[in-house]
Amino acid sequence: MHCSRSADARATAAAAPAWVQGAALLVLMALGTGPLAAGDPGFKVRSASTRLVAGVHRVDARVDFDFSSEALEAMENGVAITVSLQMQVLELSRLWDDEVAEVSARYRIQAHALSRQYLVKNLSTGEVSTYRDFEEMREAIGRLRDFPLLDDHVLAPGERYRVRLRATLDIESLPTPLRLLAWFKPSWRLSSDWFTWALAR
Amino acid sequence: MGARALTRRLGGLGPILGLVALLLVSLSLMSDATEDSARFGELYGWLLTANALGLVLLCGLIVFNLLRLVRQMRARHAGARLTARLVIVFAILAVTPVVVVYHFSLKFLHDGIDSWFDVRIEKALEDAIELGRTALGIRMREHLKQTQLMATAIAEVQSTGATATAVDNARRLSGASELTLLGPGGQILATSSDEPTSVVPNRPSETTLLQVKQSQSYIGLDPIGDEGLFIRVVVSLPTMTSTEGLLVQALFPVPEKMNTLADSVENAYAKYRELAYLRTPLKASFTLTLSLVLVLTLLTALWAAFYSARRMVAPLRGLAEGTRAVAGGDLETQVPPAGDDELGFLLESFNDMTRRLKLARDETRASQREVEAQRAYLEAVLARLSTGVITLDDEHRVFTCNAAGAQILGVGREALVGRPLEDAARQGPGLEPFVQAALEVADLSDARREVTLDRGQGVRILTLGGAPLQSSAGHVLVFDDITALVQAQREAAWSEVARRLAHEIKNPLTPIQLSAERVRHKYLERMQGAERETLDRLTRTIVQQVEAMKTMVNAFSEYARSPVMQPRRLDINDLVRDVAELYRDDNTGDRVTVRAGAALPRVEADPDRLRQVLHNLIKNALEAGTAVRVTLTTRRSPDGDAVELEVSDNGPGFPAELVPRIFEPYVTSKARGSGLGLAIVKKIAEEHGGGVRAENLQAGGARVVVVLPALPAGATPSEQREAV
Repeated sequence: MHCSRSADARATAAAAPAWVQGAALLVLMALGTGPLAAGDPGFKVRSASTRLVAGVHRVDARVDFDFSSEALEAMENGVAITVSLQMQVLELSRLWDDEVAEVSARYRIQAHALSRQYLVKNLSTGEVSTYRDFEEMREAIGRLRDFPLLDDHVLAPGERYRVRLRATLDIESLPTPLRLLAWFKPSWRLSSDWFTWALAR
Repeated sequence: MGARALTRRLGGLGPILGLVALLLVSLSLMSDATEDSARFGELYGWLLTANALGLVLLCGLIVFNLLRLVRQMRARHAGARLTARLVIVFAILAVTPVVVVYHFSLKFLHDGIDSWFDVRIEKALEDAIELGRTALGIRMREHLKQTQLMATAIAEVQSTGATATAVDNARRLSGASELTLLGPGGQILATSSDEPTSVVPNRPSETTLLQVKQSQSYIGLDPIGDEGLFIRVVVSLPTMTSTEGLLVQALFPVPEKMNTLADSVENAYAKYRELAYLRTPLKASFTLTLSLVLVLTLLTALWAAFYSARRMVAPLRGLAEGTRAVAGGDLETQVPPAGDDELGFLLESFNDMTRRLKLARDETRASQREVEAQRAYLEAVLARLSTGVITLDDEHRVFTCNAAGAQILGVGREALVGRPLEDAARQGPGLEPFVQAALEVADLSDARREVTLDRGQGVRILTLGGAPLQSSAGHVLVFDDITALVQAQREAAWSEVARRLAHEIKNPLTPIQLSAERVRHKYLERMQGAERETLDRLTRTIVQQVEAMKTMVNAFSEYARSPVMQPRRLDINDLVRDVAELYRDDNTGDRVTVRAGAALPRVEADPDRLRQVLHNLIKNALEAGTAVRVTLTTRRSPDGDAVELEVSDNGPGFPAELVPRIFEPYVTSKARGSGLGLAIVKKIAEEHGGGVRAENLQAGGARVVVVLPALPAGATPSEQREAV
């Protein structure tokens, strides 16, 4: 359990004059911030593939959820973090790719102080899992197995399709005060790039 | 102010007010969203973007206004500086309180948020969590022992095949909600649950299984689904051959009361922790919202400053431009009205003033034109007057002088006008009597003086009248040159005298002469000696004197005679040569020389009269001395309008005192002259429309110049007569 008692430290850190903070925020908004540098925390899709099982394409994937220290700190302080694995099926055409289907596996992670565990709620199924260890939780949500993507009969025969997957941190589901910072701070930009592969039929 | 004016005024204001209202609403919603309101939380991003765009729009408006103002100031537009000054004043008035309020609002906001947090509350919550853990720990240890006993019991019946029954019994006896026998790989061998609908038991995690393998047991407090907290106990079955690797997991429900309390403590603690963590972002969000409100207020205030300054200055600008136009002479200027306030009254008054000014100017121009017309009329009349008219101001400075006046005085108008009359005396010699008399008569009403001017070119006689001007403080002088009139009167008088003399004297002369000749003829032969000589001398003297008197009377008669002119077109050079030929003398050489001018215009004259002129002048010159030589010169006058006939000699010249009166009858320097020769010359010259002048030459001798009007080339005598 990584929960810490750092409220006092945060209060001290917030000792800068109010107007300075306001000005800094405005400047931050006006200028934006730089992109995430290589080696920084971030989500990464290690592998992903599809299998056709009983007429349903199912996804297996391995994703590294490498949270930034700020995200971890927020999590340890009881802030619910929502991550999602976003999957899209694209039909290959000459000019552009048409999106055929999009599904997501969304998980809400929250620390439970009394039991010193992490609760992971699958927002699609409502199922709640508990993990005593952060790494165990990270491993669990990073392993996608047999996730139903779409029925094969939805797809046109003879056409070629691609599937792409990415892991994102849902900033919009953060508490509103935190959301503002998350928009502009690189440490909250954890989403992975699209991982694309051909749909095997 | 009418509804239309109100609409017009609000026309430009409406969009901006709408924008500001939208921004305010947007900021209000954003403020609600910051407070984690579910309603607006999702809109936070959009609201922020909308506000940023709105502020950028306002910024653009202000920059546009600022640039326009700077451009107007550089171009020195009317009202630009006043607008800038008003904008600065308005901006300072609006910005200062807003900034002060912003500063204290931020301070109160941050202090308010900080006041939510208290170390003691945080400690109490942490203690409550710890208490909950301790309370649950006691139960957990009890359940661990209980589960271990159940595991022993299950192990004993494992070999009998009644495992399922044993599991179910053990669950019932222990009060567990679920009891599951797990295989070495975690597979479910047997399970019992107090929920008949529950088909799949809750499996322990891999980590749990790993821990059990290492330490034979696991006990933990797990929140399961929405059912609240459960005490999960996993133990290994006692080591027997048949139970190698088997596990028993028991889930004990936490009592509802305790569950509720634990939930409450957990939620409160979690909420507090989250709130404490979000304190800084929350402050930042509020600060951002407040800063946006500040910026919006400042920008709106700045824009309002521009707007109101522009509106306020607009009438003044119109007034300034109007004033400039009026100062430049454009009285057509009318500034647009500006409502019914004091400024509007000012503009209306300005328009009224320009209307009145225009009216007054038009009237002034009309009267000025009338005055100028009258003046031109008067000037025309004065210019054609032969009478000199001079007006003086109250300081006797010459105000106007007509052409005749300048001509009579022989002084240019520019030398007179604007100067004191006394200065006129310095402009030309001999004007002192005129100035003196003018100053005397100027202040007298209907006063008249006769002034004689001797300017070296003949005496001029003027009559001078003066009177004060009634319309202004000045005087008017009116004078005439009556020299010619006086001369004519004098000549007429002389003619009358001559006629009477000729008549009264000539008649007895012939009997006297005849009587004297008869006495001589009768008694001279009878006498001898001295008596004879005496009689001879006396009678000869009588005859000679009578003859002389006859000659004199004939001259008088000639002078008084007014023969009929018989003018004709002639070349004066021919006439001069003819007359000069008569004086040719082979013994003494030519005493008369002719210098004929080339290409002289013809003159219209009576040749007999002109011959008399020449004879009189040549004779007059030759009589000056025996060695005197005479030169006859003809030439065109300097102005080209006349022909000059000059008779000059190298004699002693005229006595200087006689020169001014040399052409008057009986003015002569000769003992025997009749004194009428030059008078007749002058008379004949004037009969031809010309004149004559006489002067002594500096090298000695005298010169008389007769001026005769020239005929234009090709003109007929009748035309010439008309021209004269």
